[in-house]
Amino acid sequence: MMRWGRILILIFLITGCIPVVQKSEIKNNRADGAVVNTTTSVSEGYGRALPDNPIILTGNRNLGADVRLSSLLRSEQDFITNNQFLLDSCNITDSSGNVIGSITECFAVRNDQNANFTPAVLNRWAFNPESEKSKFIEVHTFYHTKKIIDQYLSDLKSTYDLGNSLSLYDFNSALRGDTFTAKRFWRQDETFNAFPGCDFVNNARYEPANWSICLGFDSEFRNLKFAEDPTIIYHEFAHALVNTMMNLRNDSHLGGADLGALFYDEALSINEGLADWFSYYINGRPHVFEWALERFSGAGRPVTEDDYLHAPGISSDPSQRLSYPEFINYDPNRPAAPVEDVHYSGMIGSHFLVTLGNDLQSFCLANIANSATKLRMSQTMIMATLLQTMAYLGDFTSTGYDNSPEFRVNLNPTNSFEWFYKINPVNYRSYFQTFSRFFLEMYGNPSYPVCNSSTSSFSYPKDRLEAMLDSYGLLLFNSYNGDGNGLTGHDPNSTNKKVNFSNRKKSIQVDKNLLRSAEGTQAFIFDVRADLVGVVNSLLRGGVIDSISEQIAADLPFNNGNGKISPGEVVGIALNLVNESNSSMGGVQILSNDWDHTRDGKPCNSFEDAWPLTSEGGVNDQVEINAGMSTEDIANKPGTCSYTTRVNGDVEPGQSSITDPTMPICFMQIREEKSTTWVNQETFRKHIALEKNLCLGGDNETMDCFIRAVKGADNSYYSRLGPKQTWTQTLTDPETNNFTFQSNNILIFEVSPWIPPGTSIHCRFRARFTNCSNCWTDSNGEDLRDFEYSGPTPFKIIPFEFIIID
Amino acid sequence: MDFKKRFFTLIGLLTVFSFAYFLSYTPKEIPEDGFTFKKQGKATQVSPTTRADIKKYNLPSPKEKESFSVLGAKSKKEVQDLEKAYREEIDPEWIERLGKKMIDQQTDPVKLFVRKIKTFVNAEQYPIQYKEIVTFTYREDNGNQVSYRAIVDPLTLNIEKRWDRTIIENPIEKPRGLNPSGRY
Repeated sequence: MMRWGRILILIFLITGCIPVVQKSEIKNNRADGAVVNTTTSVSEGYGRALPDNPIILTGNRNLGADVRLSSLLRSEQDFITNNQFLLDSCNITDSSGNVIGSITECFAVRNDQNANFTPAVLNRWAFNPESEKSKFIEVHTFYHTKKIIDQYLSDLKSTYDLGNSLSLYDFNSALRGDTFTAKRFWRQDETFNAFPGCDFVNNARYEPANWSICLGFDSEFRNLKFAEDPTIIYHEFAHALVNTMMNLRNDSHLGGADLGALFYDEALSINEGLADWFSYYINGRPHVFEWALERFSGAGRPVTEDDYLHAPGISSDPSQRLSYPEFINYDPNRPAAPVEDVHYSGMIGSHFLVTLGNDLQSFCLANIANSATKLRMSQTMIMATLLQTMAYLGDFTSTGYDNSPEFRVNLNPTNSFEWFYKINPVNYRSYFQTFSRFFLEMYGNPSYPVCNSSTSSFSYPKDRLEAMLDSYGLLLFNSYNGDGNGLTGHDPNSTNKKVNFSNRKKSIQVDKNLLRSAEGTQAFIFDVRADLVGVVNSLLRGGVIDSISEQIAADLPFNNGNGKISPGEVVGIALNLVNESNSSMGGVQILSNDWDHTRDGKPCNSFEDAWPLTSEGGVNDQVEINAGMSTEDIANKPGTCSYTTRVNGDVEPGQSSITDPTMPICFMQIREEKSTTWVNQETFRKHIALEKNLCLGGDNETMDCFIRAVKGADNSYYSRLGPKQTWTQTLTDPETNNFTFQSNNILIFEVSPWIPPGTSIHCRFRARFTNCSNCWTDSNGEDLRDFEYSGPTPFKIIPFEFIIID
Repeated sequence: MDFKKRFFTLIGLLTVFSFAYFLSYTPKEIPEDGFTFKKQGKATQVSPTTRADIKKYNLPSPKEKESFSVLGAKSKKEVQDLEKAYREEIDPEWIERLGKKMIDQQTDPVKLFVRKIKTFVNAEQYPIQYKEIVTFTYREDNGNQVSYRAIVDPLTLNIEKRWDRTIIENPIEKPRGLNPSGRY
């Protein structure tokens, strides 16, 4: 009814009040040659937007903030929308032109969250960039958002079609059959909002929960809106696309997959690199933010090595590319000062994708004469690979493909969320392993050659891809893991391609045993009340953690700032790890979550840390060994130390009750007259006769009664450890000699007010890193199975023992 | 003459109202449930989230809202029965209790908006599980805004999963770091 009312009013307005402007009447040039952007200068549905940012349009890198945007307009008009507001639909059609997927209110632009929709004037979208700046910027933002959406939808459709064509050649597509009909391609029918006039100083944000981007302004030149720079629009909107692509296989009841969860982690680093690449995907120009961030704030970013901003010694020569992990902390704007920032580490991925695209153009698409077509085709090929990669890696059904069994990726549907975010999260190794597999399955298939020269057709060579990956230090995997991470190991008959090791020249893998606690300082402690209150508030608001124990008040009254771990505190712990190797370690992740390391509630001492002695409470599989069972049989017997839970501590397959629970990492010491024993926290609770309801987690969670890692803040990252260095040595600014910790470097623990001072605690942290030679694969070079990440095998166990001090 | 005058006045008014209507047009019907929690000192104010706040803070108003989906249900009647059971079993004030629990953990002045997106019921499990998908949006006094989605158990108010976290670029200034207060 309301809609009909609007339509009638619209008809009335259109027919009764609007003078019809004929094309012949369009005038857009002033006498001085500048473009006049008024209603009479464009046709219905049209307006004008800046085709690129002012620096590029003028060619002047020293352009002043007072530049008149109207002087940068083209005389050609840009199609905006035939709708009355900056709100449009998204439609996907099949080859016959039938709509197979449609979102009616797909995306919209308003100046800011408070603003009403700007209506078209006489059905036209031409606004003066000076006197009607906010309206002009809205139209400009809409134009560029539409541009990237159109290209994404077009490439998604072609990827879907390619997957169908390749299915004849045993290709499994990660795109679901109902991608379009179930509206999976667009967050199942939500409207995306862009706010180019957002009240956000020197900043921009992507807010997926409210599906929107907020583009702020420069603090010094407040009239300079970030949205004036289309590369900012592309970058921010790309986060929305990445988010959508990661969830192409997911239904909302399983939760959503974000590529990146902490302030610094490798998944978010890849996400930022992809967002920069998406700008190149649209404008073909390998540099971002020249106007919005580089000109006045010195925060631009290249997307290729042959760029003026890069430090000397970096070039597109394979030996001089941005390689992992050496360039993780490199900021081209301040190359001497190491930074731990997802945007700059993300350049490794963005540069790789641009280089691969260039190679596709020169090697694979050489017979295409038109350079724009060639560029577009190469981008489509890469986009198809990205779509497959992200649909697969983000799959919470754990199948990876339609009609595939569970346990292929992200363990199983019950635990996929936890696996994806914490236990086996996306990093540079897994992302580019999966990317490379899909790339070769689509473009390296000899039965389906996609490359052409003037005389022959051929497929993209595996060795060529591996050499390029290696030039970026990204050949970090031994096999392409084509059969996934299933329960039963790898099928010897599968097409589980192995990497040609002779292609590995720059990609360094390091033994996990070369990572250990530093001599002297084992851990840094953070217990200043104001600092921890701020950290906890920020983690709660950001959705990283969901609560603090009811035993500890929100203002953390027990935090005493004495730099020790005391009863009643919420403390941050940053383990001081050292890299004993001669190569860098990248993406060091430390876990303090529960894992399978006990037998009948006692700590297993059959792992690499050989802790604790049997006489001090340790346990192992000696009973089975004495009974003559083989190592393999013991490893397959639930309940033993050698057996690792297949289902994250739930009831194991074939069992009727829980045999292998995951347990907290910290144990407590009971001292008696003639002995000391390490026990779990429930045993200690009984020993001191503490009421269950006084445990940190209350009656039902007594295994971490006294000290527990706060869920969500139970894994931390160090971006890189330099050779023979700790993280603080790696990140210390040589000019200022300073370094500071960020939230991603710190594990948060709650300490019970009821813990007796003087109690000894032993915690078994687990650590690993991305370029580790024995954290991700077995002795045959095959990827570990997903369940194995519940146990000790993929990790270096880092012990940390301390005494509670009041 | 009088008729002409009235006619043109009517047309004029109609035009003005039409423009006003278009200018105030928002593309979707906005549901009004959800609550706002405001921390002031140690006190917490709770009120239904207003339309103005929904717009001002760009709070979600998804089309799937109010939907009640069932995993494993076999018939329409079964879905209706489950919906009835849900209404009988779940405290209708669970959002208020959840929001209070969340904002009580904040020590700074901040606004929290909790909005329900969807209820889903897992009828494949015994006992049947009710889950809610909600969004939490925090607005700080300095204008910073962050949000995320979560799956919540409306019986226990436990947050089981959290995702769709805001990405703040901070391209120029990085968040203030922390210095350790001690070491072991």
